[in-house]
Amino acid sequence: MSEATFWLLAKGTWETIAMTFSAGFFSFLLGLPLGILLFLTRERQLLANKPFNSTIAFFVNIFRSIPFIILIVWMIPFTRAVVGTSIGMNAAIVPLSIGAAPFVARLVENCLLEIPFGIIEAARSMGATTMQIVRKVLIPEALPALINSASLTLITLVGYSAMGGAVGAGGLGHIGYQYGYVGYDALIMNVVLILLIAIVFAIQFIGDRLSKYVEHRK
Amino acid sequence: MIKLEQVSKIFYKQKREIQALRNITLHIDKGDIFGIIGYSGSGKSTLVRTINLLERPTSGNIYLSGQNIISFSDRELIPLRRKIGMIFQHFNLLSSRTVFDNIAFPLELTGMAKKEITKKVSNLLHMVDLSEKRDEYPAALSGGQKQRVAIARALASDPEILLCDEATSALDPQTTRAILSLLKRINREMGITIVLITHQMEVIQAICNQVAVISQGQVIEQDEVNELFKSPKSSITRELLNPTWNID
Repeated sequence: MSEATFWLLAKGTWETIAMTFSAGFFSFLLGLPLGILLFLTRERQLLANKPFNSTIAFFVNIFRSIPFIILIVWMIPFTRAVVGTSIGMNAAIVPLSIGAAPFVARLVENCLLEIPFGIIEAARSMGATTMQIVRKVLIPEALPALINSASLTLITLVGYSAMGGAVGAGGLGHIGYQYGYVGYDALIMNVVLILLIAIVFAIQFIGDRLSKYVEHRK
Repeated sequence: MIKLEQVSKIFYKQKREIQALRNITLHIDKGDIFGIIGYSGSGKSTLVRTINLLERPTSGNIYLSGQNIISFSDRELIPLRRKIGMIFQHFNLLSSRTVFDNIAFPLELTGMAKKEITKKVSNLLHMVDLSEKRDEYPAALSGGQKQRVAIARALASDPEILLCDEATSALDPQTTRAILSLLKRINREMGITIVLITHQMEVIQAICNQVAVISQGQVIEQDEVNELFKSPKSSITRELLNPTWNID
């Protein structure tokens, strides 16, 4: 492998990791509160509100239906308004985050649904405010599941980030496509695959470890 | 101390009306250990939840120390609930917190200083005899130990009333006895009024002084425990007193 190839792959790896983790961060920034709201406004929950719940659920489902490659293009005006450009890594992070946020919201909602109803009721009986219940009951009790959801989201984003190549964001996926599919360089393609697999395994491994560390139910 | 006046509750399940409570009137004196007994589905769980308005009645009034709380907003209920402890059949401890932090939970909610919390929780741990378990997580405890943690947690905010929702139903007879004697001690030494719901007559007999029998959302009999045992008036009470297991 030539030095140039080595640096090409190193740069691609860095771009994939940077895109995955920043998009993961922003998708949780949006998806976590959204998921908590979805949970709290459900029937029989603390802020039960059917119209509100249906409205958020409606928009969450719309965003989840748009194929990601189309979302990138469709969002170009918005992306330009947010980061000032529609090409490059920063530009790819915007649609990646927005694309993953509704997915995260649903995952978060599901994590919270796993918490026994009685625990929330007990907190209410002690005079906890809704905010206190979110901070001191819902998030800590669901933390192991939330960490698993984060691993799942990051791994999904590794795959999605390959499409970032469409707007010149680089990344391993793009290298694999250019050199492997277009140029048919088997070596580069296979190394890209191995690197992607390594990233996914690393995320899963660290996620499992962290989740186990905060799990006290067993 | 606690007065329920014509309390009714209607639930709607898929547009169907379910009347959980029908015109319940009860008077619970300060210092009582008041038992409410009934079969599952009788409405007793809903009834105990109206006292701290975890369930809002459809109609009727609830007086605590002479004050009608029925019109309290959610915000006004917060300080009120901090003066009413509650324990549950399935303990409802926070799995992510140690024994110490579970008991500290209601104190944290009030914004109490760390130092004061530590002192108070240590005393409570001593009272329920779990000092050496302070750093364990609930998963490592037995049912009886979990319920003792729950009792300590319920007492942390110095309540005047303790509500017990089937508190011994998930425990074996020996553990039940230990929990009941702890409740009795709390009632005697701290003067806390206890409202206890159960489906087990033994529990009523062991610690209650007053009892109400409830069936299909109605109080069908209410008396001092001794009187009820001497001369039960309704057939449901007699059945509860003398359960037979004849299966054809």
